Amino acid sequence: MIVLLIVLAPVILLVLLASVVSVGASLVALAHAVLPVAKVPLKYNLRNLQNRWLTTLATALAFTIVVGLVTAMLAFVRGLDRLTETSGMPGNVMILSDGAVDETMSNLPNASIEELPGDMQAAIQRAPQPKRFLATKEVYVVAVYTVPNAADGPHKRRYVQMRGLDDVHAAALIHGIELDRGQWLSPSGVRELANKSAGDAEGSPPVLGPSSVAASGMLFGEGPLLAACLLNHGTSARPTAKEVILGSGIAKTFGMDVGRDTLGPGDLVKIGPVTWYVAGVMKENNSSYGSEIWAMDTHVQGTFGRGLGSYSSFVARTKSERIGVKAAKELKDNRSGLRSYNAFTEQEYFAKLTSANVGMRVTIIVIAVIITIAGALGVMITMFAAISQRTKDIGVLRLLGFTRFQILCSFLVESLVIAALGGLIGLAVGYAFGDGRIVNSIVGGQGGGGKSVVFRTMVDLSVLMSAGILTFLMGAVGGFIPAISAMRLRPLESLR
Amino acid sequence: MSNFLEELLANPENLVALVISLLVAVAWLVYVLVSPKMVLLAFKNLRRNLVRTLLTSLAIMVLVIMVTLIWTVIYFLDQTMQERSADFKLIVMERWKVPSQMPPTHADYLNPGSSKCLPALKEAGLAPKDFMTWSFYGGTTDPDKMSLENLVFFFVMDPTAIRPMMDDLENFDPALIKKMLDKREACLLGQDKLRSLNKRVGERFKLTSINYKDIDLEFEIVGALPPGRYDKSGIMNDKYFNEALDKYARDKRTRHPLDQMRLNLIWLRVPDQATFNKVGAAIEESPYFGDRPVKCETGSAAIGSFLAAYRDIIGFFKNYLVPALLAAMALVIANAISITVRERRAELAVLKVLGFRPFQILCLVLGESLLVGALSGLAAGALTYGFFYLIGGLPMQIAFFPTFQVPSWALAWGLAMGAGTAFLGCVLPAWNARSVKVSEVFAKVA
Repeated sequence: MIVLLIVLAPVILLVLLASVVSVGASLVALAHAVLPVAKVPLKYNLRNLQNRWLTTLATALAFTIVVGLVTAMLAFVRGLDRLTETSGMPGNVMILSDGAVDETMSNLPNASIEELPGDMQAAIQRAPQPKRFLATKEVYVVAVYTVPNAADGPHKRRYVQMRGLDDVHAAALIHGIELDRGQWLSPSGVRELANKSAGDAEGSPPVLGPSSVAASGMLFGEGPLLAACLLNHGTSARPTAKEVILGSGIAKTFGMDVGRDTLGPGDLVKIGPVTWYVAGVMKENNSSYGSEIWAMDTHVQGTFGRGLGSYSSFVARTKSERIGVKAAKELKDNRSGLRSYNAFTEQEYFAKLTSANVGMRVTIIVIAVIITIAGALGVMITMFAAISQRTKDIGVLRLLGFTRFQILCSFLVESLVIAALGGLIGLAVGYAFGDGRIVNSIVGGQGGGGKSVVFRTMVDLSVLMSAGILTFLMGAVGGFIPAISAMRLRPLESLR
Repeated sequence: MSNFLEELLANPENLVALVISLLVAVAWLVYVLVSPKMVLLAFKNLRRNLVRTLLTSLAIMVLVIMVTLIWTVIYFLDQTMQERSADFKLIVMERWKVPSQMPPTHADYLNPGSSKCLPALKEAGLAPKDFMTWSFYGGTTDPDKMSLENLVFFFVMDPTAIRPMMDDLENFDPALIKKMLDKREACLLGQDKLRSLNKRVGERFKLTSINYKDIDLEFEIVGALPPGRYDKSGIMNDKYFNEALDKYARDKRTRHPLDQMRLNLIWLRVPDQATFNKVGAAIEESPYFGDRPVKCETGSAAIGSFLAAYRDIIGFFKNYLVPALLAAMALVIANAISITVRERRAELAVLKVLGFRPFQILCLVLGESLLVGALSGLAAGALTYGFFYLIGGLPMQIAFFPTFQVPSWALAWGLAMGAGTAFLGCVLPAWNARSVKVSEVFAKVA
């Protein structure tokens, strides 16, 4: 990387210098165009663009492609950033085992909240009804999900995030999660399945009978597998299944796997060795928790070999953001108690995950900048051609008394008009195709780890501004050098 | 040669690039032989407006470099996920969760050198050299100020398995392996890791573990791993690691919490798909792994599962970004060539008056465009390949791949991209040039 930077440094410096000068000149040209001063009429440039409509159109189209791509790529980065920014709730403190920096590596015993140091306990907020600490014990595992109906090839498994909770209601309050449809986990976390078809679902647990489940493609394998997955199946008792709450993102991903928009309450889904009953689906909230699957702590521990009583984290809501920061620091520093912990504020934890995405962000920005350079070169070709075709015009303009500066401004503005034309359409195309798309990616993820997340891409003002600035840059850099060459033409020579 | 043919036939992009490159080369050769004067004219025309030619060439080069780099990543990932026809490596891992954490006893049942080995493995003819285990040990040299720079990630393994089992280390220096065996605290580090730790071979360092609490180990660097896929990681001796866990149990009179989860992956080399299926089924159905069920996957399938989370961004690059960049390239060329044709309408009319046939004019414009496109594309491909070869690959962290080597196929890709987009971009302008009406042009001139 250092070698790369050393080799590219002169080129980067040159491009930066050219960009700064071009942008400066373009801003002056724009100001000149709107101010009531003597100038080459804008109508002259517009008429020329109209006359050379094919060239104008081809250049604008290239701009549209470039700006559309840049907007879509920035929308991805923005969506990912927003996801990690909004996942950490102010005041939340994540307590991990000492030395662990990530939930996957953390291994906490089944200690009660009362075993935390007194200062920490005092800092935790209490829920009014029923009275309890706003704190949960959570076990986090990355589970293997076999994609149903997958095309042949190696991508038949997906890793999904499961979170086992000792108190799902407290966890929902702490993480700011609301239910979109269905119900929260029942106290036992197990649902009895009525023996009727999916079509009957209304009110009481909607049920997919073995045949309809297999037909939906949500389960793979035949009857015996299903029988093995559903507790009590084949006995006089009704079959039961452990409950899960799906994040909205992962519900959509699972749905797409079986040709539906999303999974919903009453569906069954096989994760790991167990078939789970979808009790509810979370409301979309642009949080990494929206990519998770929540279940009872004991169910997750038992199913995925974590060992009963083994947790990944304790998460507590403190009384304020300031208190949270202080509590996390004290808990981390205080190693004299019964146990020692590592602790972060939740915002700090997710900020660390975001910082691990720097590579992806840099890659996308580098791609955006390089295609911007190509766009600028495209404008340059057009503008040089425009100038060589209009050498005589320039000579006449000069003889009519227009100054070199006015000629420079005129051609720069013309280049910016082409950029604006293509750029605005590009922004619209980028917005149409790049905003609100549901995508899968990874946050964190150095060395193959990280959290796989489902999120929506986002075209907001910052994305539009960034793409707009790149458009302006393309127009400015692409038009500046040809405009200089136009400015330098001598009137008599150009008329010859 | 067989490798060349294998890569050519297994990857349609290579085949297409080679066919286009050959077609362009043959077309130009024929053009040179049949009408050398027209070729000369084409060169002169390109020289006449050098600025435009250079700008077009630059734009093509920039876009070809971009597409080549993106395609390098896609190509590498595709290659990694392609099932091999022979020399399979079978990975045994925990069945239902990641990271896979298995008890060390699992290895006994799968080690062909062990008396407890499953009979199916011995029947398949697997030898001890076809077996390797991995544990993952991570730590930091500065626990108070942990950063990516001071984090070290080790593959914990038997050093004798490095040469027979590790990808890209088939020719690793046997002397270094001997050093690893002689000194249990010896380790090998990747080039980037050595740099980021600011350490040299022969130096020692201590790690505070981030995944095995209280198993803090001291190491001596005995060698560097070759540049490439191991740049950011290292290899340490499994005996050293196991002894540390045993010592913990002795000192604390209790096992380490991860003691029975210390084994992350088990690798077995099998000769073919049939053996893979047979051995895989025997392992997955074996009652020995009932307490912690395992699954068997090929390396490519396992990587495919890891990369599934990246499928949308990779899909966007492959299906939208690359075609759009190629379209932009074709537009730039189309624009430049149509401007040239419009400027030279009078000259083209004169050529017609002099007896040149429309087909010859079409070939002249096509030839000029293909020349700029193909040469710029080839130059961009060569530049990309050469530059990233010199700096040791494209530094871009995706999953566990720190760098991506630009393949030598980049030369063919570049030429094909340049020539292909030049052809698409100039078809319409060339047709317009061919259809120039002499009377109309002269009427305008008059």
